[in-house]
Amino acid sequence: MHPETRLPEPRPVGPRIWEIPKSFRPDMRVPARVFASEELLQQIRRDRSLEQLINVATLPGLAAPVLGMPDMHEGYGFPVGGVAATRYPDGVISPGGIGFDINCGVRLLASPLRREEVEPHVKVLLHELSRSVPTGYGRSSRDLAFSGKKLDRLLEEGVALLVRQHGIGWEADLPFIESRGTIPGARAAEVSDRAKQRGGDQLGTLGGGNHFLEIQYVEVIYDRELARAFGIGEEGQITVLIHTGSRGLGHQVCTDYVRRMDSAMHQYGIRVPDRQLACAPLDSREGRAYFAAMCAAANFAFCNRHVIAHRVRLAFEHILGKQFGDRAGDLRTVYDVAHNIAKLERRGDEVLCVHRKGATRAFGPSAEELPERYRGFGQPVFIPGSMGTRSYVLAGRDESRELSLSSTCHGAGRAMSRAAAKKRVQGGELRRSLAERGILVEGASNQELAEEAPEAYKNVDMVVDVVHEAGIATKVARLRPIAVMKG
Amino acid sequence: MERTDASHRFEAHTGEVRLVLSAPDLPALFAQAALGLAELMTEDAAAIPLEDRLDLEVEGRDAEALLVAWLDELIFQTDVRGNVYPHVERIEVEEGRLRARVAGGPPRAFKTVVKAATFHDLKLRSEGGRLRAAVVLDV
Repeated sequence: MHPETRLPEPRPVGPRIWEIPKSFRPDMRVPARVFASEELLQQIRRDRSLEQLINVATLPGLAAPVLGMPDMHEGYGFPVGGVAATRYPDGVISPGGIGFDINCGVRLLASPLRREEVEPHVKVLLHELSRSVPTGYGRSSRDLAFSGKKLDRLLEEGVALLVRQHGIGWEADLPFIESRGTIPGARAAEVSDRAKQRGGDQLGTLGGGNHFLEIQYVEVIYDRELARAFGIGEEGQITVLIHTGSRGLGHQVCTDYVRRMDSAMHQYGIRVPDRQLACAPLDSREGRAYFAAMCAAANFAFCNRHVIAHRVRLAFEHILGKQFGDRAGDLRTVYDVAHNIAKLERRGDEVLCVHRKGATRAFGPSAEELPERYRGFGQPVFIPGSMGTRSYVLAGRDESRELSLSSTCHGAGRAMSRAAAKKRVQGGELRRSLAERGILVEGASNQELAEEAPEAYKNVDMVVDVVHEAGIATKVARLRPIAVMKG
Repeated sequence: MERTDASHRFEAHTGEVRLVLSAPDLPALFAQAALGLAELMTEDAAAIPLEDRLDLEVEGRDAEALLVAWLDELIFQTDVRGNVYPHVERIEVEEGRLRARVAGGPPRAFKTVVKAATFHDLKLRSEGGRLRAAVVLDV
């Protein structure tokens, strides 16, 4: 713990908003704000995430209070569920503020099929998905390996290249991916050969940990107008949620640049309270190189989820095509959104570099970057609950621009370590209890299952209620899984 | 490497794992870190066939950074080669540079995906004539 850090007592400054003032610790440059109910705030105070958020508030060039989302929990350096905006170009960029899994995120697909149409085939469908989407440690996708110039083009051109050159996915997907699946400024030359070697054959793979692919149905609709706009019009409709990121490529980019900035930051007179917050000015050589490499890794993650979505469509066609014809593979991309990323975003006359680590961009209805179909409605935001529970669809609100740097939560947020979860939960029992509730699970040992048990996470309903009540995002629908493929 | 009285254990950390190490000197500490990492990655680190030998070299601006770089190197090799390296046959540590020969092979099954070693809460200090270190791994 930082020598001057006592246990902070955040004070309420708005509905569901708590603040630790800048005066709390002499090295803070801005206040730290947390979005939470009293109960979630108590949970947040049980780990060191508040202290970590205060550490983030010491970074040079911050343009606004640093923010903690209601699902915030202890990470390394930055808390997971933390948001920080630095001024471009003189503020800093911190690879630890984005995380190892650059552009870990989610894509939601909406099927025209209904639960009662899919459920009788779900076992064979899940099996087909597990054959076509590799999961687990280092599992590669050798039929779609990219290397050399081909990989460099993919890193710079993103999803559009997959659609136009490789016939993977649909042109119609592009507007419904954050930044159209191609973040400008990506430079493959700033991504090390090691990162390319580590990730080049991992396109279309889920990976491990908390990554998953779920077949779900729409259980509840809270806002029919917004749900219709997003193409998830009625209860019982089938959806597919894909949660993964940039695999080994992104991990290596973060590893490379944390080390590089740890060595370089003293040249810029920067001192940080935790070395994992290593950073450099955005306009420094290291800052520019990391930003370009991070954008390239983010493009790789968009491509990864895009390839998986393509394979989901093929699996649906293969298993359900005979019975449902063209409807089987007609899974429309509702949206694809990043959870771990830094983006350059305009605020009035300023350009800010908004770090979101375990947080989601939540643009409101008037945002220019929204696809035409969603203008006037807001950006879709997806909040996966813990495995086998439920996920939410929300819509960003314009108020989020002032309240939360256009950001919202990203999930339930861990409340318990993996080891503690394994002690408390029997994986076999959990598998049986999920099966009793009509949820099939594939691709996980009982031990891995226990690590991701619902008890290990905060209550996603409470997390979502906070952002709804704080006016950051509106609840649109709740989704319930019928099959889970765990990474 | 000769046998030493080095040891390691794992501590729970919300969402992550902390590897805690104790050894009489830096070479033994780094060798123990390799064994600990292998045990985290697989159930059967002791049974891994030593069929793949690699000469590795890493740098760090201090001993703590060197420990992170060492673990990251092993994580990288596992990711690209599919092998785990619990055994250090030879190791030299001097002035921010580590050279080692490691041996390992394919595990029967992987247990935990380790993405990276972090600088968060990183500690490496001398206590009572022994070196003690703690490093948080992103899993």
